[in-house]
Amino acid sequence: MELNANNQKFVNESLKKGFRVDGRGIYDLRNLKIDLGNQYGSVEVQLGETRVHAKTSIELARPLPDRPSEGIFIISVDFSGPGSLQQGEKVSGPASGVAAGSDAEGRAAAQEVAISRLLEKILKSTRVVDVESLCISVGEQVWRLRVDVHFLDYGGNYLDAGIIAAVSSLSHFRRPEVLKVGETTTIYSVEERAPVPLSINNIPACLTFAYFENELLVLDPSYLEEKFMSGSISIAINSNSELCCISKAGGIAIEPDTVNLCIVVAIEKAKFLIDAIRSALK
Amino acid sequence: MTSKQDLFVVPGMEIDLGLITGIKDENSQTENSEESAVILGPGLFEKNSKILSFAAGNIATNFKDTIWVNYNKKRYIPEVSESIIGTVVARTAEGYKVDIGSAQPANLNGLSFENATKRNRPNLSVGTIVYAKVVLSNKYIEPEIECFNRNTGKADGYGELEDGFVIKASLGYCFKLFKGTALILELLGNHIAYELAVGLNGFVWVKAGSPETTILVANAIKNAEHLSESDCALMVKQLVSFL
Repeated sequence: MELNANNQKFVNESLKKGFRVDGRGIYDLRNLKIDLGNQYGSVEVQLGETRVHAKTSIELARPLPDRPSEGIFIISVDFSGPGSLQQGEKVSGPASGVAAGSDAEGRAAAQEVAISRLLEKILKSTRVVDVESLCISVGEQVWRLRVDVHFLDYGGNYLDAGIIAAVSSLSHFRRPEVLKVGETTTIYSVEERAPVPLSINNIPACLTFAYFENELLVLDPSYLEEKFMSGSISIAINSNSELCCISKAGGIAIEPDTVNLCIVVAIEKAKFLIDAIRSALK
Repeated sequence: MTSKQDLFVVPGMEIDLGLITGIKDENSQTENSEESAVILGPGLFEKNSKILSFAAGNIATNFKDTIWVNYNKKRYIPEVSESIIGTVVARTAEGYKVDIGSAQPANLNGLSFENATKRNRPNLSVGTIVYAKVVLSNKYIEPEIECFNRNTGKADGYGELEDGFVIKASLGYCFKLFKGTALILELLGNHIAYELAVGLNGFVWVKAGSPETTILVANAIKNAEHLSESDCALMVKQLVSFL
């Protein structure tokens, strides 16, 4: 219902004058709130109206045959429920053009797949977790680490919020301590010994820019901006201010200079996000 | 006796008109009959000659003949004679399908506009927003809306809303804005000229002279929902200083 021609025109015309419809500056992030749950690894992140919950869990498993000395790191992303991208898009009623409804659903499903793939790619390729430290005995027993990311409320920019949630959850998580003496390994339950944190190599932050006609860029697009944008570009930066990942799937073409500008802004904003995550975990 | 602000009801509760000031007392004194008509507004229904509530909230009256419950929700259920804001989602042979936020899209006849004839009727494209009135609503068929007053043939402010910006708000807040009991509109109006259309289906259309003022007004209205009147005044004062 908010997705009407008037709002589309308004969002575009305001941006031409340099104003965003929620009153933010062009490179401003929305309010970030990181709530730690009462269990290790349970984190709820709120970025504006977008809400994400992430939970880390761990269990013993046999290692993969081709990687005997590495733990297993799984990321599972869930869009069902109020966080589904499909819901808002659906044109209600069977009579009101089935084609419009199914087309919107198809697009939403593709968007969901794209977000979960990118989330997994960023977390794995930046080597957030040192998977070798999850090995207990080579070829025999490793930890299987699992992060569940649940999207609870859609207010635009799922990816950035999802990365913040997953990274905070991993940093907040504590696993049971393992002691190896000679041939025997002992796994102490949480009650016996204080659990230990995971070895986190670095904390990445992802920043998404939405772009509109005439190379107009905005950081952290809101719901309306995301619906009316011409395309988006996501940039992942780690805590050493290194560029980890750039993703621009579809959308209109943009100039290389614009991409460079995005990277410069992203590096600056990533520092802020990573600091926010660190201070929330203290 | 309980004053009207204090009478809180929950769903299923029976309402005793005797407890509500300004409704039955005056009527029964003047007419001295039990038949003095009381109009039940939102949140109330009649069953077995009892007045029951289906909402949780405070009872409110117009101190004349109408009582209703001030309550809040987000899911819109159309009710006849309510003014709503809708988006055209499809064109049909007779007119348009309009999304009004209800379970089913509403039908809007192409002739239900001011001065519309078979030859000369408005041509709305998909995505256009209209301000309209619900004229038919029941649980069996799709609701129907109109963009004119059927008795006079005049638009009465209904019709296509051009440009501007539509924001979402809770139904209870929209009702307050519609009734004019929300102070924020007046406070903003003291400093900024703007046009406003409030749909009781939870949407507010705002249009001011420039994008920045429209954004300011829209966000001020959005944020004022949970602010006290003094906080509203403070917020408006701060916002206006940016202009």
